[in-house]
Amino acid sequence: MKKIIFLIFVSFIFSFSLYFLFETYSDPPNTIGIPERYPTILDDETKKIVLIGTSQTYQLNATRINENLGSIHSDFHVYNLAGYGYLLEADDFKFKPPEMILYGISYRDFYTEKEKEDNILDINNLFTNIILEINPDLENKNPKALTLQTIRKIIGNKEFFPAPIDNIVNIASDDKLRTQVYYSDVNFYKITPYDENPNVGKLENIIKINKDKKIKMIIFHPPFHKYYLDVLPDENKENFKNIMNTISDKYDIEIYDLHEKYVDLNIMSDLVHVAYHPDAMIYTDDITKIILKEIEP
Amino acid sequence: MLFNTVDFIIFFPILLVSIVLIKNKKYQHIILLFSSYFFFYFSSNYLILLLIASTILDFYIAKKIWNTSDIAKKKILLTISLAGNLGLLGFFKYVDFAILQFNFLGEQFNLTNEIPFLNLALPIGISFYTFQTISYTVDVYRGKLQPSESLKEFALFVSFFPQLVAGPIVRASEFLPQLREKLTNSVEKYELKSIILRNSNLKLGITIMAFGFLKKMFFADNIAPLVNEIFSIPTGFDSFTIILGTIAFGIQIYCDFSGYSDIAIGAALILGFKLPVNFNKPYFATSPSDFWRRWHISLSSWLRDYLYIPLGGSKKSHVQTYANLATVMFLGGLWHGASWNFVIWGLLHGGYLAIHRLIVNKFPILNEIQFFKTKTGKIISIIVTQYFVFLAWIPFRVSDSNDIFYAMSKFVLLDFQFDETTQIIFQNKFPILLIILFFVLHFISYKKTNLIQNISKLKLRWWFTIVTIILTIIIFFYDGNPEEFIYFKF
Repeated sequence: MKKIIFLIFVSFIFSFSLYFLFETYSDPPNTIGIPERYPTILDDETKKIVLIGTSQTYQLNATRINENLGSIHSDFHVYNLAGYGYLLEADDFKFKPPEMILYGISYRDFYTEKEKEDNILDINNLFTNIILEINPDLENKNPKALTLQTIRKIIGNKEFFPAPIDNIVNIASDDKLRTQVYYSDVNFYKITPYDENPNVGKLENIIKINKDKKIKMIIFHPPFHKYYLDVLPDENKENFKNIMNTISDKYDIEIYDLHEKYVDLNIMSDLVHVAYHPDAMIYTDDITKIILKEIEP
Repeated sequence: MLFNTVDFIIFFPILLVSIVLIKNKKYQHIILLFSSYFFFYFSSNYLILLLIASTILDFYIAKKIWNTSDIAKKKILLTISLAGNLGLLGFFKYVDFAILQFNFLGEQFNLTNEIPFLNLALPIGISFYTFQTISYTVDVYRGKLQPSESLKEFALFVSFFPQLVAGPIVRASEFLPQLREKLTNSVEKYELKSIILRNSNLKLGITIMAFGFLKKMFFADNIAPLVNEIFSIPTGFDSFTIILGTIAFGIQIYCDFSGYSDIAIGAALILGFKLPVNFNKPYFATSPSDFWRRWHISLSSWLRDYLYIPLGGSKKSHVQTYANLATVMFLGGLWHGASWNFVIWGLLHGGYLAIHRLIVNKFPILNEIQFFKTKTGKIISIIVTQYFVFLAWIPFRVSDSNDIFYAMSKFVLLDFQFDETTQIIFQNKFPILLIILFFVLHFISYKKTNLIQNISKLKLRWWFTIVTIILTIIIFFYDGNPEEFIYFKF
């Protein structure tokens, strides 16, 4: 018995060591599904329109927007820099300031932790959290991505394995979406009012910086699935509405609300992301219309 | 808690160490019970109350059924138990489905007011543990099983963590005697069986678990992207792409679900409990009825014993038998999920079973034909059976009715277009390689029965090498974001 337990222990140590050795001598994996952004944006003379926001904005197809824009406004070029949330501010742009910024802001941008931290009965991911507390770097580890990248390199075939981005590409089934409700962030956070919400200050700061630089800023609210909206507490909806109305009035910013626009359409890859799928391009096309409207003289 | 998470890798050894350290049998069982509740609470939070409610209801009702000799009273008590369990299952799993149908009907009659959906969270494992508790009460009602004397033991039977959320569906008559020895032979108080970790169980249990993890994390999770690419919106794809997607999904769901069962069986075995086998090379089945003797065996035998036989089984007329088969499979389909695609899947299998029975009844001479006993005959039987089994996987995977009928028609009526299929194969070489590898391994395990047992009996150094290779493959293909088991949502 002791021998078996010892061997299993050795087996774990050996396998993990082998992996960490492999990781040490491999190139770091590319972030799958998220292209390198800055290097693609050259400091040229085109008029830039920049999409920023979180992953909900990332689902917009900038290539398609540019194609549709090109025939009328070929001097403009749209870049999707979403995925960084509040970390991205106007001062961070490593290129000529854009003509316009479209900022995707949703309920989730104003979420603050609710009683969850104080709830001693909440033990979900208990062990994982303890491990991450000890070594936070483990959270970003993706052995599979590294292994597949290495296999691709060895055999020199980029198409050996499809990039695991299907979770944002494919349109999810109703069953899948329904089961996601229970685990979604809607259950864990709340939106505090304008005066109390810490994220309001961050957003206002970005707006002020852009105003100072005379960069036109438009806000839009990315879409959600109806299951998400159904369970989102009314208090959160109300506080969010008040925050956005206050900001819109205070800084004279146009806001386009797409939160509930597609609730009857089957276009979501999960409860909060429109699929990056040919059949779900209505979201991208609506943003194109907003851009067209805003750049018209 | 998912088996394929760090949480389980930590939870399980802690439990084993606790069991070993605490020699007192009573405390061992309490630890196992609370560990099971912890396991369930970990992912289900307050929904654990449903599990506890179901446990308490059936424990006391079964006792009352056993203690009364009044048949009418027994029936009333059984009805209360069934209503309680099926009520819970029905409410949490099917209420929105029922509302959807009701609203649809209302629309046909121009009713303007719609009933709003309740959007209830589906309690994990509810389909499994309610079936377990129902079988317990029914067995006590039938006089086949003496009720458990101890609530603690019964609660452990219902909540035993390895099989709690996705089976196998364990019968009380299989589990309780393992807790108490000689349960059926004596009415005296028995000694609790202590939980002893044995050498052979540990080695075999680890081997079974390792293969379970390999099936799930290496095969199922890496074939899934190909399946998703084809079946997220299948309409538009050519026949061979649909067939490729169907084959890939058949393998994915087998590896996913049988992988879960293997991990459950292995973990239970390490703790000294034998759970029933749930899969037996189903893709080598030679007839629809043979398939259901090999696929999700604990569910099909449950449906046989608690639904098919009470309906009359095959004891009545031929027509009644066919109707019974269709009814059982219809309900079996609905058990998988509150959606019409599962109903279609169930009805297809019901149809297969009924037609197969009809052919056997009409042409009994077929059983005598030597050709079907030869190797070639067997291969042909397997191919024909699997053609229909895989056809039925389409409605299991695809939920949209238009997509289902498109994909099924493409599966049946070949269009002989290859361009798309070739492109998909070239873009998915790794999943295709895994499919080929799966068939090779499946064939080897078919030819070499007891392969896993034999591996567990190898000399320690060889056994260690195999387990380490499996573990290394699993680690190298772990993506840091564990995929849920498909059967969790059932």
